[in-house]
Amino acid sequence: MGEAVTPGLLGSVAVAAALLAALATAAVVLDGVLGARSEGRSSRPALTRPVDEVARLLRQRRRAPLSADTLLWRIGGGGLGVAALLMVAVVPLGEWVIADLDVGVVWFNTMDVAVWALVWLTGWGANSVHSLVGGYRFLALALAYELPLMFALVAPAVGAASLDVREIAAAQGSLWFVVWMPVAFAVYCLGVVAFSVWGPFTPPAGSDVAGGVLSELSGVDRLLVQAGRYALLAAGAAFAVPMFLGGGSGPLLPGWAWVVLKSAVLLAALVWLRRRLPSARPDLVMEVGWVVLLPAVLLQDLAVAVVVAWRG
Amino acid sequence: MGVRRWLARRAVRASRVLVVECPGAWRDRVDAEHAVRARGWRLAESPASADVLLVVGEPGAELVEVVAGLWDAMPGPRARVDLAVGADPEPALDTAVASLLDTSAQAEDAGGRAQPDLGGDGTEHHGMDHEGMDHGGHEGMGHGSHEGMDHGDMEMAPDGIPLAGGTEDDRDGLEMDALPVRLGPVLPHWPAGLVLDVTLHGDLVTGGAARFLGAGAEDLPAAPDPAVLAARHCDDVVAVLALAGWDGGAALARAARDTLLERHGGDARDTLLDLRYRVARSRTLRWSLGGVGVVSAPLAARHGLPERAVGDCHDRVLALVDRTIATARVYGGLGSATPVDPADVDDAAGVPVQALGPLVTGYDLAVARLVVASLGTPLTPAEVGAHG
Repeated sequence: MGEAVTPGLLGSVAVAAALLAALATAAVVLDGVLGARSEGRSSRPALTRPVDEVARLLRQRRRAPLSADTLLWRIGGGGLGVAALLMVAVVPLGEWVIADLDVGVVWFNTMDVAVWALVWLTGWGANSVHSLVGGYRFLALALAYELPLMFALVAPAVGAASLDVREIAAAQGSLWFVVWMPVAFAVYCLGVVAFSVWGPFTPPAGSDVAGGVLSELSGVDRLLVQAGRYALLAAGAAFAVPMFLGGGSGPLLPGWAWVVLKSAVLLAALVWLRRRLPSARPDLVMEVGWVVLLPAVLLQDLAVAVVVAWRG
Repeated sequence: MGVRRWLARRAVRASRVLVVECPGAWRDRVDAEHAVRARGWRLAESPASADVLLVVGEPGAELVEVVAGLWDAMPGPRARVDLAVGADPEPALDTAVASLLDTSAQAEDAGGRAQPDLGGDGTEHHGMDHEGMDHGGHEGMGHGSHEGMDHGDMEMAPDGIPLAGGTEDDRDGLEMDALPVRLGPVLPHWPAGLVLDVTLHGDLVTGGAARFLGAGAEDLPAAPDPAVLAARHCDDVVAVLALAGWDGGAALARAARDTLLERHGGDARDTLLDLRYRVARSRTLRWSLGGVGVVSAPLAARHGLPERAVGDCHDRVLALVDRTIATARVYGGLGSATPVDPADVDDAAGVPVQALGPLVTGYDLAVARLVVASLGTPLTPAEVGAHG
């Protein structure tokens, strides 16, 4: 545990990408199994779904609508997975981290804001009404979830008096931040689900607009976007571990194993939760985001700041 | 070659099917969807994501063109199967599998297509005259040969796509913000054969006109079996819940629909009452649908809507469930000893299709879709005549 191994940068990125892909794949399988069970069907097809779907989309030809802005369209679609990978770059696996930034929290926030542009470009580039409406919807959702998410990230940073993700993880030696920052944690999880265009935040890819931002995607373009969404969900779950769930601390297992395990559990919870909620139309989310979540998370920040000042 | 075959076999297991329901083929569409799900396949939401195009029933002249457009918008490998009314969907799906696995035929199909990535040459004319279609090319308006464009003003139509125009009463004062778009006839959770031509400002509907493609007197169903009618009404509930994004509720409604079709009387009662209870009780559904798309009593009267249309989308979805329960009672499907007299049931009170356009005006696309779904499958003019 915590061997000072410093593999080359490429090696580290490959390991992080493989872990992220494994988590995302597990999420796809779990979602498929839960879906099949809720409809009383066999869950067998869901077990091999990731492999089959990848095969299908690799075999499918990519097709662009008339006058599509293919450059921007594909930047948007391909960028989602990259953003997810850049998010986990600052997540410490025990002692080991790809990029030990002293402003890791800000880095994560930058990536999740970059998702705004990426999803919008995916909607815009296809030159199709449904796709564009999906893009609009995402921006409307983003206006609602982003500020609460930012202030949710502030709470652990204030609690640890650092923007360095490793220091934040280390500051939770005795008490995980999730215990005394539950509001920030809940809002953070909502933000993760939202920037993954997932669960209640699916309207940008909703079936009422024939798949919205996804409607014109085919072949490898579709594969990148779908994989990117799951990767973002997995990356968001992984980042919660050092922020709220005590990082790599835990008995018996080495630190990196705890990080992976906690990420997987949180990810599974997010996947499970999806089926229980209807999707939220952007105008409703706007109201909740600004009237409920933002004040709540600001109060949480205030409480954390008071506690930190009290402790001196 | 071994890897390719393996890839193809894996790929086919995850096939997505775009189902086109022709008027009069509701029952067959439900069976086909059932067969698709039973294979672990999924339904496609747009042609770009589909591998199989499944045309259920006999398409009319206009729908034939739409289907051709959809076929053209599918990326390939692709397979098209037609399912006649009353036919078993299994052999049709087997045909699709064989076709998708036939690598050489697929390569030939791909070779014979005009540059899919460039989307065709944009000069084909098809003599239809809609004011500019959904140029994104779904639901029948394939970009490969985007039929239906108005080419009257080619200078202002890059690649043959007319630009959005401005209107005087634009809410945000932007020029080029009014876009004519056709919704349907092939959209997820959308009544078969319905088209709704709307004008969009962003995603706000500022005008609309609805009709059925190729709807005529010949489409009038001969007095439908009450069990099937109850299941159809239940299918309207499925559509609203699915559009509201409540997958669990939609699955429950779908189960109730299938039970009704199988005529398991006692089970149908339990499932329907459970559905009624869950829909009424769900706070998130009330939050999501409450106060949305309100139709006042005078408005309903003006458009000839039945009483159940009054209220918001949440009231209407409950009314749809109640209508299902009432219809199920007619055939004694709910286990009651004395079947209700059909004349007592208000199941003929559908919404005239002409009313949809005015009713969706002023809402954004999401609400407009919910309004259309929550009114239930609209009546064709012929049906209105028959009942009125």
